[in-house]
Amino acid sequence: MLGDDVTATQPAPINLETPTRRGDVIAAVLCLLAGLLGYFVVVPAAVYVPAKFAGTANSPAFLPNVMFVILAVLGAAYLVLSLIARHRAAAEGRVSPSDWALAGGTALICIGYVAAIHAVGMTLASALAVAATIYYFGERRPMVIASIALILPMLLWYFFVKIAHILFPTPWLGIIEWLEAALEAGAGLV
Amino acid sequence: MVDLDILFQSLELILQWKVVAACLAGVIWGMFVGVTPGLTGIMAVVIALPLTFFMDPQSAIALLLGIYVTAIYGGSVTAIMIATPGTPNAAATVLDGYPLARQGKARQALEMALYASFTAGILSTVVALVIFPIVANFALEFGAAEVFAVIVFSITIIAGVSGESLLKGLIAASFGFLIAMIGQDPIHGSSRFTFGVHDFQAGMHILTLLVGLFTIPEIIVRGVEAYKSRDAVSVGDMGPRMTFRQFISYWPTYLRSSAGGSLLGALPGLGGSPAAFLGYFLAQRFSKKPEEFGEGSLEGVAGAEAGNNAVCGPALVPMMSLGIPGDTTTAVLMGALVIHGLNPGPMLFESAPEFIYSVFLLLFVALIFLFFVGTGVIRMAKWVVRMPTQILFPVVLILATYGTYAVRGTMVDVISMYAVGFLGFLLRIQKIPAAPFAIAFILGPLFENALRKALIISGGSLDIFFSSKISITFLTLAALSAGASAYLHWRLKGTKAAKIITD
Amino acid sequence: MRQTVKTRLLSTAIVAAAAIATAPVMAGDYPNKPIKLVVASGAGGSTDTAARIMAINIQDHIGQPIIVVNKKGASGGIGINYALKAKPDGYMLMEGMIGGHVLHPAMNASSGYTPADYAPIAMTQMNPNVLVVKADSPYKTLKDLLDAIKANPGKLKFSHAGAGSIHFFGIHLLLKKAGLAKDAAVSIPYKGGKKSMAGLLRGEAQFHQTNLVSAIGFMEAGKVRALAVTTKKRLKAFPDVPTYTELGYPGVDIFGWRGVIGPKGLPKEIVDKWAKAVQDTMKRKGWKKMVKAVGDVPRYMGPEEFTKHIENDFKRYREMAEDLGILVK
Repeated sequence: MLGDDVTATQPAPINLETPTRRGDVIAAVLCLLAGLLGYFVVVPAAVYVPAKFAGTANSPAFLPNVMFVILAVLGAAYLVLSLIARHRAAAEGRVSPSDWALAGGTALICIGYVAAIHAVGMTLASALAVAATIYYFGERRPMVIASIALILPMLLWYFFVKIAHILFPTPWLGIIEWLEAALEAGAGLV
Repeated sequence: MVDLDILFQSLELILQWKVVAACLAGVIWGMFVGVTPGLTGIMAVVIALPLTFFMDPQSAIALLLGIYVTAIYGGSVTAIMIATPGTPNAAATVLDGYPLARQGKARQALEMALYASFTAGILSTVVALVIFPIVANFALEFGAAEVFAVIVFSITIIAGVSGESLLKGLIAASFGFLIAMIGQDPIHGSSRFTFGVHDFQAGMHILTLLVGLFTIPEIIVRGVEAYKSRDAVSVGDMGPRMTFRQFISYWPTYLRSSAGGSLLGALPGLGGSPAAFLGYFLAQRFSKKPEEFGEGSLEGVAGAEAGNNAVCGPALVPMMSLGIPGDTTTAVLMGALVIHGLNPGPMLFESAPEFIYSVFLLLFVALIFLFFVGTGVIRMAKWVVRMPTQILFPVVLILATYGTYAVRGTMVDVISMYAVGFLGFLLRIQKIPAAPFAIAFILGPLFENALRKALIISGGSLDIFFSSKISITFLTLAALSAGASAYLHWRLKGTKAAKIITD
Repeated sequence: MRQTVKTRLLSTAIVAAAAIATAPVMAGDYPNKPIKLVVASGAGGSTDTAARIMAINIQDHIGQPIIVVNKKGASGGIGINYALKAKPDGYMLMEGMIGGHVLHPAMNASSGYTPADYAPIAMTQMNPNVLVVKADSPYKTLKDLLDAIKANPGKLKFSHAGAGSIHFFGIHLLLKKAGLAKDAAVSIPYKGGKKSMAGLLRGEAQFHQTNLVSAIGFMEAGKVRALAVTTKKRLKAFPDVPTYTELGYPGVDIFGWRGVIGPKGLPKEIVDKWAKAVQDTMKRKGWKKMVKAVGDVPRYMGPEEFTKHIENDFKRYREMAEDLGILVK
């Protein structure tokens, strides 16, 4: 008996995609908080209600309020159930921290990618992001990484800019876009 | 019913090589855009639109109809292969199509999607062609109260796709409903939850939400997997072909889901994605194996694709008979008709009946081309399954970003997409399902709009919802469906499906 | 390897710098590259179609391709804000539309722009409105309708294409000029003009003002009866329908319009070049035919007149939004 308890205190790390009881409790509390915060703070602050509709079912704030209350109630129910029900799907234990770290790494690349689009423009940022992600996901052959990072953004640039006429964001340091503008100006000269 | 003389006249109109060629060109172009994530059908139409100014009316409409039909189907290819709905209509296809592809049955899933689309397209066009003269005014029967009842009925779909726990499904649905409220309020136009960010005024685009909800969590999860196992090939195998017997065995699903999709298609303003979910839901509700849904059910793919493709024929009915286009794509088609001097509306059927028939006949032609071009695309899909995970998903990440940006051309959408993606990842870990989230997002604004409009019309009285047979019927159906869902949940508890989830 | 990459980068940079350095010299021969025309509404909509018709016709007179770019959202606010941020060098202009350029900022103090922030170049077409009731409606004339509203305040309903659409303002302007209270009739918003017409046909509303083109099919089919139009003269196709002006409501003759608008600070030469090109384009038969097909009426206004027209429109609609208590701060 005693030996069983000792092993039970150190459960094996579980798969990232298995809901844990701990996760259930955290999620439930977050839902409850989001509902309350929404009802008491966000709706009054961020929904503009013209005076003539205040307090009616036709007010722009009516359904948001209803939905936040529902969310809070559901969150409370979720909390109660995940605390009392042993037979529920939730597993005891924790996801391995390294899995979380790996997932967080991908998220960081995504954030970096968005920032890079602002900084150096869509095409260059995409080349960097695709190379970084491929490397991060475990591909190490430099030629493979380089060729995808080169070809993919070029194809996308050609299609979106030249055929579909999508205007890409103007970057702070748009090297490719700068080059493109220069080439267009150059073509105008001829 | 159908006037045969006029039908033959319209056949003469379309059986010219340039009309048929324009239709084929439309199908090929629509397919190319449809399978490219982020390029929506509407974009395909817009790029082709200036060309149509210089064509004769038949060729112009043939080209646009080819794109219209194909774009509805094309989104399902990326939905199945890389969990990225190419068009909003394909959101329901991801639910079962993508799990099938992960299980090495991509070929069957793709073929199911194509055959179901084709079947439903043909069925619904036949229905539209035959009943066109009778139901030309059908859309007028559906006022705010009736539309509200249909939407309430559709919302009960949420219970069916909630998976393990109805509670978690409802939580996901509340999130979807709340996020859909960002932007201008549908009745008074006052801003909600925009926090001074001007681009939020337009609300979150449905593709932004779908890509964030389905694609980003998948990339993150596969990334963890790829990092651990290094040289894993994504799936590696297309799997077996679908047999004819397999295809035929789902015939009740095609009929039911097409009927549901046709109904929603004929009501202006609801569009393809609710129809896809309704088709999916009908397939599940009457299935012998409802527990397989969401885990990789061919029937689910069939239901979703039959549902959304059944929209294409009937959606043209209110557009041509009343001049009320159902969605953006039909609006563009209508614009093209107008440019060529054909004014859709009550007069068109009297002034140019052969033209109306020719439009439906062209739909058949487009569907047949779709069938062959689609078969070719399925062959090419093997490149995707053979790609190693560590290369495929980074590429998907880039495509998802371009696609999200391209829809409206604003970085706010890209940032929102990643925010939804991270939220979706956390929800996925806790098995809070994505499907109810997406459905609530799609139906929420329609629900709010119909409810509030009905209340203005009735002066605040709730009697309006019980004043017509149509709305009473649908509200009753909604109650029955909610009851049946609760029963289904109870029945599935402790079965294999529930165990798979708990393991 | 590293050396070659570096050299190559350096050489491209030099080429680029040289090209950019020469750019200002060429400002005189505007335009020397394709021009983007931002449409702040959905692809395939009537404004988009109008812009594309303009684009394919005017490029012969401008001498460079015109690329139509759609940026929709927030009733046009998104696309207009975007285009206003562009350099006023004439390479990014907008398809002007009453909804996005006037009505949206008139309704929203936080829209980010007012007509003072952009430079109107030329109006190209206008869009008369028509007041309709269902064919079996008891109201035969405008007077019948107004009397009925007066007798039953708050009972009659009108459908329109959304709060802040020109049709919504049109009815409110009529009520105001007729000396009725602002809530004498109930407003029912729909998503777009086509659906609001369906609302009228369905009997959810008793009257409806809309673009002539949206109503014309229903008028011909005898499903609706027109009570008044906002044109100066009666329509040739419907000589029985009186104008608001002859009925004694001259201030109600509002109409929608489209045109070409640039960002603030656009050089005068560019404005004039475009105004001239628009004038030339409007003489083309192909352009006229297409514009009429989409239901607009060709109507030219030069930069000064157009600017004045927009200022008046804005003032009028801003006052109404304040009056009606729907101005979003």
